Amino acid sequence: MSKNKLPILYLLLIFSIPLTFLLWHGEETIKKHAVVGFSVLSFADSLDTVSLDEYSSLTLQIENMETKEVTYRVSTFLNKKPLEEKEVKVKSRDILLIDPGQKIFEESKQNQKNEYLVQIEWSKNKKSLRKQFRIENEKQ
Amino acid sequence: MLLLFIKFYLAILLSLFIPGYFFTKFFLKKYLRAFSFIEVGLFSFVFSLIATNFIAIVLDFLSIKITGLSLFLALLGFSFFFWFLSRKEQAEDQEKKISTLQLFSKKELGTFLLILALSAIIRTFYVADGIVPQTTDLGHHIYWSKTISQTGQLPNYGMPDFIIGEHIIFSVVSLLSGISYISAMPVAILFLVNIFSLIALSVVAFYIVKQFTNKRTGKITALLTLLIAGCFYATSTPQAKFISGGVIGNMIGNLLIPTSFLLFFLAIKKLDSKMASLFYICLAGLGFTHHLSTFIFLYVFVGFLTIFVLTLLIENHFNLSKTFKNIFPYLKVFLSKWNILTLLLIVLFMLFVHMPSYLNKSAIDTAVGAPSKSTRVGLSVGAISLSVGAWKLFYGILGILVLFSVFVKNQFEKNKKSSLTKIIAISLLAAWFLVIFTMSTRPALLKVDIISSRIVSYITFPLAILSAFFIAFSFQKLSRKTSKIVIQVLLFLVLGTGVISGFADISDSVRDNDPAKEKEVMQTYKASEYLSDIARDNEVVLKDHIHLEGDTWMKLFFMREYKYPLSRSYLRRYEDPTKKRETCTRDMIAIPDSEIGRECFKNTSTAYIVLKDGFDTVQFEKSSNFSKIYTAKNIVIYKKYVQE
Repeated sequence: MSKNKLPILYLLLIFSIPLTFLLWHGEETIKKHAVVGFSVLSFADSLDTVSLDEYSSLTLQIENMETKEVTYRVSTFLNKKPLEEKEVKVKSRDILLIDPGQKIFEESKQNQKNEYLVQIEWSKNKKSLRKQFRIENEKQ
Repeated sequence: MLLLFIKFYLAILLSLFIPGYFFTKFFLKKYLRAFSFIEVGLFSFVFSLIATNFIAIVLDFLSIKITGLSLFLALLGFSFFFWFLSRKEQAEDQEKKISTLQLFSKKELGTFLLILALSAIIRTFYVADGIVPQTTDLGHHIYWSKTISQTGQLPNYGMPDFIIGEHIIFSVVSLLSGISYISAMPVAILFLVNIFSLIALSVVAFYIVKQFTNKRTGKITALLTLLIAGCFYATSTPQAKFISGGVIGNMIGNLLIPTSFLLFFLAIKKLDSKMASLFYICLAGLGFTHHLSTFIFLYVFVGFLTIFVLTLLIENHFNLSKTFKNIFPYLKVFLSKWNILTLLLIVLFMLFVHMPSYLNKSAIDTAVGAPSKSTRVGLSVGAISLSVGAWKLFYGILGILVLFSVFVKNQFEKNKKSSLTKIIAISLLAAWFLVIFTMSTRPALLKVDIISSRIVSYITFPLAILSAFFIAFSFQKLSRKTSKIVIQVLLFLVLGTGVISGFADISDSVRDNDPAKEKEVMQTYKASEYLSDIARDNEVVLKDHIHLEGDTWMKLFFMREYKYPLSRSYLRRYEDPTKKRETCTRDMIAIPDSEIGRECFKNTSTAYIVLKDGFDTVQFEKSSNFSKIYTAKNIVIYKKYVQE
């Protein structure tokens, strides 16, 4: 093998500089930049059946991954009838939980079909979520 | 982050350099000082990759859980074992004469490193553009690598599409360093593989071309090969596009094929059976890594043997015994006790430890035979030109013509017999190009039933050597008859057009750095995290491969099974005249409330649909049978409402 160590050093640099750059750029992009700029709104769970004392699956989660605080005017409907409307502010990179469950149960009346549709709308981008559910019979 | 980088580099050293270095040192000790550090680095990398695969397979066979610790100890033990053997032998063989194999002078080495650096820079910027893991092939492969990390065992694929050698190295680096799979780690490893395949190509070009020309032409060909393969058309297939695309098998195949040819040729040139053993081991590594590459290698090798034996027969006026006498000393190199032992070990390993998943009759029948689909009937020369680059194809074809003329001149004009190694070198290079060219354009002639566009990607490397050979050879000849200035102008014209054509390809193929696309990928990841938390074991997820970005990577968040979540594929894939395809994944999105759709939901237990917002979402927005439980900027999730 060549006794001159300098070319080996150059070869190592040819490998290590791009590798380090790719790894660093990858970590930066995945962990910082790419997650900025959108928010996620979702129900805390997807269960179709909720009980009177455990209705956390109707909880709305707002995860703000934008760089600034966002204000939402959230409207809740039960079987297409307006239930409540409120304004919430979600700080940047924060998660806010909205729990309309109690209100929903106060207003709900059991019908024969035991089927409900809760709809949550918010002003930003005119987006909405909706969830069909039934109330667990033995807890009625 | 610094600690992560240090751990990553240590993992790379331990799995991709150290074991192979000591392994090569043991086998090639008498040449080691004569080889340049480029060749030593190449062999260290190649045999480390192979050793790491075999170590993981052996650990699994011995029912030892594949963990960071077990791998660390096994790799260290392997390296120590061969270090000890090579030291022991060093004491015995100290007086042995050192070979005179030397590659480059200082100036040439500088040029080599400069071209290599440029090749690395082009690839780095291309790959960095889409650094968030999102490509389909890579997602499929990395799922299996993560499976190895999670279970501590090698996976049972249950299909011939995947081979273990494509996945082990990523698991090993992840287990040793702790680096996540959702990172630049997979493409960083593929980047290394690609750079070493360029080195392998350049080195093999040197040894082959030098054999039938002279040392100077060999060196110039090696440098030009690196320039053409490394810098011209650097972002097309099978280069940077395959790195970011995660076409792992092809990438490793393109490293092991030239290395196998190199070892084969050196074994013949040096009449060294240890080198021949390394050739067999390299081939075994190829066999455990990629079926298509192995298939291509075998076809090329058979093509080489045909050309070589025919040439020899012609030279010996079809005297069989004389021909055999000529070949015998070389044949002996490949059938010594060392080689028999190596081959026996490989066969036993395959029979009792691990058989590559594609070695079964149905998988072989699928690849061999008359072309069964329109995509397998071959490509036109125009299509090949688009795939590999017009400049490279043009000079490559000139290269094969010049090679033929050199061959004819050697055989007839001088009226003297060529040395066998010269015929071998010419036959090898000619077969490498001609066989792949025929497989790509007229697959029916060779009974090849594989997608032609996949085969053609293998022609890039022999074309790079042939075009480099043509330029080096013709300018060497011209320089004896023409003035220096004319030579310089001509060289400028030839390489200038290469730069224009090769770099235009780069500017054409450099993807738009669209941060919005990366954000969409991150949204897919985020939705997958959400679903992996809430989807019960009996609830199936269906996602839309047509419109979602990075959707293949969703399976890494669930890690339930390879085909989870279900995927709505491109619509043309549901129309296959050769066999009946399932259509539920299409119908559950297109017509969810129809009878067919309802039946599909019932049969597949699909509970969640993941779609890109605004793309095929109308039917779900209108339906009263679906809840909309998740929404982000570009992605929505619907849940099938199960009525009592």
